Amino acid sequence: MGVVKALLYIMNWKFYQQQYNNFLHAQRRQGGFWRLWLTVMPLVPVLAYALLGLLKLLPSDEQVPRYLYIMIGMTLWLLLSDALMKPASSITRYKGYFIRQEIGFFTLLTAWLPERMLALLMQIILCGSLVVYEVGVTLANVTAFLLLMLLGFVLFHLLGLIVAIISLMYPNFNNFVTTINRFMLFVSGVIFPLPDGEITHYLQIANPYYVFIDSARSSLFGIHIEWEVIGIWILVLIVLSGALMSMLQKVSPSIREFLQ
Amino acid sequence: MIRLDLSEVKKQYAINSADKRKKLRKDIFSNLFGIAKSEHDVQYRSAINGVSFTVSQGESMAIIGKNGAGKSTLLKIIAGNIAADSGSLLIEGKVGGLIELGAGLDKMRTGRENARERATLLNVSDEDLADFIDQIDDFSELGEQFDDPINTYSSGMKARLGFAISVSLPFDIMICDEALSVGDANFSAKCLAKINELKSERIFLFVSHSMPTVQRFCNRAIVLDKGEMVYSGDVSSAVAFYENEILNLAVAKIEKAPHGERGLAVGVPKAKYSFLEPIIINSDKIESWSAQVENGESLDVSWKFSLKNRSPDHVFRLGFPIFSLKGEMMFSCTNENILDGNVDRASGRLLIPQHGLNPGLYQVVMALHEGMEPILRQHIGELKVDSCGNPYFGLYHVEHSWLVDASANKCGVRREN
Repeated sequence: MGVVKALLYIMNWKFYQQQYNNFLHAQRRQGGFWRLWLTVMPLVPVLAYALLGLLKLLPSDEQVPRYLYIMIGMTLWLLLSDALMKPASSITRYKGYFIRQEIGFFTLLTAWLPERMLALLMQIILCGSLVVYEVGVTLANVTAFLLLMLLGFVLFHLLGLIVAIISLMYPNFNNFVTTINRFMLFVSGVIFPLPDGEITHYLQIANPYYVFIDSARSSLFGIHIEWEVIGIWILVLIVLSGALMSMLQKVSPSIREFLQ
Repeated sequence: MIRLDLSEVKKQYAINSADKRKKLRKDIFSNLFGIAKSEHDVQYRSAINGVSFTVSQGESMAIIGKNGAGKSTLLKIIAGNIAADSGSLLIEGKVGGLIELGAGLDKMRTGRENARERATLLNVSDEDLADFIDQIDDFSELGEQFDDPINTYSSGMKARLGFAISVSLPFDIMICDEALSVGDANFSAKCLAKINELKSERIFLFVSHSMPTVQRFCNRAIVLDKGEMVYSGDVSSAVAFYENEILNLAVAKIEKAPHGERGLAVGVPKAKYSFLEPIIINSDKIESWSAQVENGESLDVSWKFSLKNRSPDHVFRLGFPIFSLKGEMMFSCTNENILDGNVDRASGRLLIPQHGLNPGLYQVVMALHEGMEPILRQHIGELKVDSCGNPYFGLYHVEHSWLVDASANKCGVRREN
C-alpha cells in the first residue's frame, strides 16, 4: 500500500489523462484515417520482424513458433528501449511544462507514458490473440509474463531517468547510449536466442534486456526461467528506486532552472 | 496564516548556455554527492544578492526597480520556478500568478481546455470545476474565442486568460509581474478591482513600472537595484526613493556617456539627446551669449546675448523651451520681441515661480530667432524635479484646490483641501 500511495503522490494522474487526450486530439487532426494509423503504426515494427521469422530468414527457437518468439521479443524490446530512452526526449518535448510547479518532476519525465501505453496495448492485443490461437496459455503464465514485463519496464525507466539527467549535463551521453542501445537488440534474445558459451552466459545474467525479455517470454510459454537472476535484478531495482526518488527531489530545482 | 519570509536570498545566473550547463553539473554534483566541482571557468552574473523581507496575509507589496534589477528572478524564486543559491525561504500558502505572459499555457489547446487543466492540476474538485471555468470565462471576456486554440490569441488575450486563471484559482500568494501592462484600459481597471477585492485574503506581490498603479494597490514596497534590496518601507517613500535615487542616477550615467562632437564653441554644452538638435550658433549674427539655470522650488534662468550687424527692422524672439527626456516639449516661455529699435545686446532673467512639472529630469534650451530664422539654439541646463512619493498623473501638477460636499448620516461635512 505504501508503494501505491507513494506512486499516487509522485504521479499526477490528471496530467497523464490530459496528455492522453492531447495525443488523441493530435491524431484526430491527421485526417480521416487517423484511427487506422493509430492502430497500424505501433504494430509495424513488430509485424516487420515477425515477417522475417515467417520467411525463415532468422534463426528459430524450437520450443516457440518462430514468428511469435520474435513478435513478443520485439514488443518487449520496444517497451524497455522506450523506457530507457524516452525520459531524455521527454525533457525536450515537455520543456514548456517544467516552469509549472504544480506538475511534479517525475510526472514530467514520464509524460510520454499515456501515448506509449496505448501503443503497448495494441501490441499486446495482437500478440496475445496470436499466442492464444497458436499455443494457448494459462492464467499463471500470463500473470508471470505481465509481472516480469512490469518489473523490466520499471527498471529500465529508472535507468532512463538517470540517462536523462546525465544527458542534460553531458549532451553526448545521450548519443552514446542511443548507439549502444541499437546494438543491444542483437544480444538481448529479441529476434533469436543467444548461443551457448561462456561469454554469452555472463551476458544472459548481466544484460537486463536479456533477463527480462527472455524470462517474460519464456514464462508466457511455460518454459523454465531462472528466478535467482531475476531476484538479483529486482534487488537492483529496489535500491535504484530508493536512490532515484531522493535524487530527483534534490536535482529537480536545478534542472527546472536550467530548462528555463 | 499565509506568510512569506525570505532571508538573505541570493541567486546568480550563468551568463551563457555553456556556463549554464556547467552550473547544472556543479549543482547536481554538489546536491547529490556533496562534491564542490571546480567553477573557476564558469562566468556568473549576480541576479539577487541578499534579499530579505517578510509579508503576511492581507499585505500587498510592490517590488520596484529598473530593468535587470532582479525583480522577475525574485518572483521566480518565490514561485518555485528556480531555486535560490543560498538563503532561506519560508512560504506558507500556494503561490501562483502571472510571471511571464502566457507561461504554462498550451498553445495548441483552447482557452477553456487550458483553464480546465490548470484547475484540475491544482486539485479543484469536480463539483467546483464548472464554476471555476465559468468564472474564468466571464472574467477573461474572451467570448467565443475562449473555445479557440491559444495560438490564435493576441498577446492581450493571452494576458486576459492568464490573469483570469490566476485570480479565479485558489492561490494564497499572488504574483503579478507587469500583468496589467497589456490589454485595454477597461480590462486593466477590472483586474485592479479584482485585486482590490482579493487583497485582504491573499498576499499580493506586484511588479510594475507604473508608479501610480503601485501606489494605488500596495501598502509597502521594496526597491531593488542590481539585485540588492536598497530600500524597504511604505510604498510612498519607496517610490520617492526609486524616482529620486535610482531613476535619476540612471539618467546621470547616460549623460556621462560619450556622444558625437558637434564642433561647438569651447564651453558650450553639447547636445546630449537627439531632440535637442539642431544646435545652432549663427556666428555672423551672434557675437556672444550665455545662460544659466538655477532650479529649486522655482526656476530662475539668467541670460545675456549680444548681436552683430543687427537690422533695426527685424524682430527678435527669445524663448526657453523645456523638454522631457522623451523629447516632449513641456512648455516654452517666449518673449516675442526682446529687443527694441537699434539695441543689439540684452541681458535679464526669466523667473518661473511654479513650473508644475512632475518628478523627473528635464532639459532647458535657449532659443533666439531673428524673424522666422533661428540664430541661436543651445541646451543650457537640466531641471531636476524630485519626487516626494505622492502619486502623480499626466505631465503637470496644476495648482488647485478641492471643495467637497460630503455627508455622513445626518451630518453634512464641508471640507476644503
